[in-house]
Amino acid sequence: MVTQFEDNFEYLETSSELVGRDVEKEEVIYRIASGNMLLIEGSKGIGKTSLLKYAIDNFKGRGKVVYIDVGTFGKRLDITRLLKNRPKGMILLIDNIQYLSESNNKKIKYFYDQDYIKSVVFTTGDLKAINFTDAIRSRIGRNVLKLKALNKGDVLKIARDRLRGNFEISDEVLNELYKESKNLKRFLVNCDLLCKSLDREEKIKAEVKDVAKVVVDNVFDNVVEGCLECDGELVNAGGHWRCKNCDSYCDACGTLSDEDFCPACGAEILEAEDE
Amino acid sequence: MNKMWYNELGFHSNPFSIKPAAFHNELFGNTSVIARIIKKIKERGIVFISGDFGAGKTTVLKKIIGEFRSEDFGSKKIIYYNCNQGEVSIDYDKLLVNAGGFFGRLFGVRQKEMMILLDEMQDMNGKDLAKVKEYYDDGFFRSVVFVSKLDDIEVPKDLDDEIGENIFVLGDMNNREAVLMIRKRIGDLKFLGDDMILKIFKKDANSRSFLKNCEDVCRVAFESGADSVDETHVEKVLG
Repeated sequence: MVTQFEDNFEYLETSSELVGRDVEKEEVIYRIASGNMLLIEGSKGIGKTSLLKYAIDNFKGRGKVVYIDVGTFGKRLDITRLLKNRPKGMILLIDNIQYLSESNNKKIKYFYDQDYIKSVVFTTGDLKAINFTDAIRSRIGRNVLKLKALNKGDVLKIARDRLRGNFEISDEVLNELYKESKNLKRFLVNCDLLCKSLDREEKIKAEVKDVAKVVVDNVFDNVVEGCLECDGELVNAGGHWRCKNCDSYCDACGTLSDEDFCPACGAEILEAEDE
Repeated sequence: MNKMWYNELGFHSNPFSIKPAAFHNELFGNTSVIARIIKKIKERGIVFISGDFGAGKTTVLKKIIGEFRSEDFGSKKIIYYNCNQGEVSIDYDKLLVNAGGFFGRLFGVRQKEMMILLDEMQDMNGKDLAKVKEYYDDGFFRSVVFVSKLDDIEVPKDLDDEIGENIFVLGDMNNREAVLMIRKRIGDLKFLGDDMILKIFKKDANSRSFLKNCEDVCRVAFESGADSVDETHVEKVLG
């Protein structure tokens, strides 16, 4: 039932230690232990799920923690079925509640009142997008934890603690990388990419100019100039940028393939015009 | 894991829990209303109770259940149903059969003369509402208690006539009851004095908010290292 949200980095140690979040950690643990409902609010990638993960580490082993990402369950989520045959006093951690239906709202309220659920922690990226019923709202009350972005010192410390390999990455480079990253999550991804690129180029020492090479933004935010091979026009196919001249790809989903039909979705494959 | 403030003060769990199930035998405020409700149910009839969020609707129902359990009425004669449970419509026959215990289920006999408590009735559909009256007229239900957070629910005409004057609205507690409620939970703990309880109560008299406020004030006071709650703590949290 628990979705995996383990970081998947090649060059960064996985770590469940939360740097710079002492107050927040204490609040989460307190609200869970004392049987409250808590709402964690914070923008994308700021560390909401990491806090939930911290809570799981603290309360696991008692067989009573359920983590639900409403985003992945969608309409299929049914709290009653989820709690069937489970002991009293469950701890519910609910990620992405903007998708939580009204009937699940009511069920959570009911099971909470009857003590089948001991405590609930909700997370959201946007307070306005929540459709809590008034009953849930009144039970949460003041228990809203707003996550602010970590200060730069903490962010750099997290990267330092987790970087492995013998790369030499100066504070200046990390600073630059941090400036180019929108949030902590993106920053860590970029750190990982930087190491990857150093490894590929068989370099040990990172320079500031390397930063520009690895900084990734959302594909859709990015203005793609043209094909790196032929400088021809790029087409967005299913979220991937493809070149009409050089790539054989599926027009529908962007999968690269030399077959006549797409192995992923079955649509006809457009052959590269150069070939 | 660290000890919580309430552990340090000698409580096993949060004494200010807002769950109605946690302290089901306690009820403060609305005593005269509840006495009238119970009297009415004993006489048989249909009763409607409404109250705002956190006024203690479910707690009142628990109190009623407790009251009838302790009398000769018999706990087997009570059905509690929360309309938030999420089933599409209510299967009264199943409720009546299940109320008969093992033999009831075995023979599929529907119990008669039952008392039914319908919590969160604002979520009931019109069909279920109409059926309540039928079952009542047929003698399956001797008394029906509706509990709702809204007081302007549309009910079928004949049901409305049956309810008649039996509408009860739950209100906030008075000062004395507020202090009693907290004392019942924490005993004569010096950490939180009566004057401070009243100060917190003055900020918000809604039972649920009141409990949550007491919890937060005590926590802040304890974590600041104080010997007892004083005005600065109240202001800091509820200011």
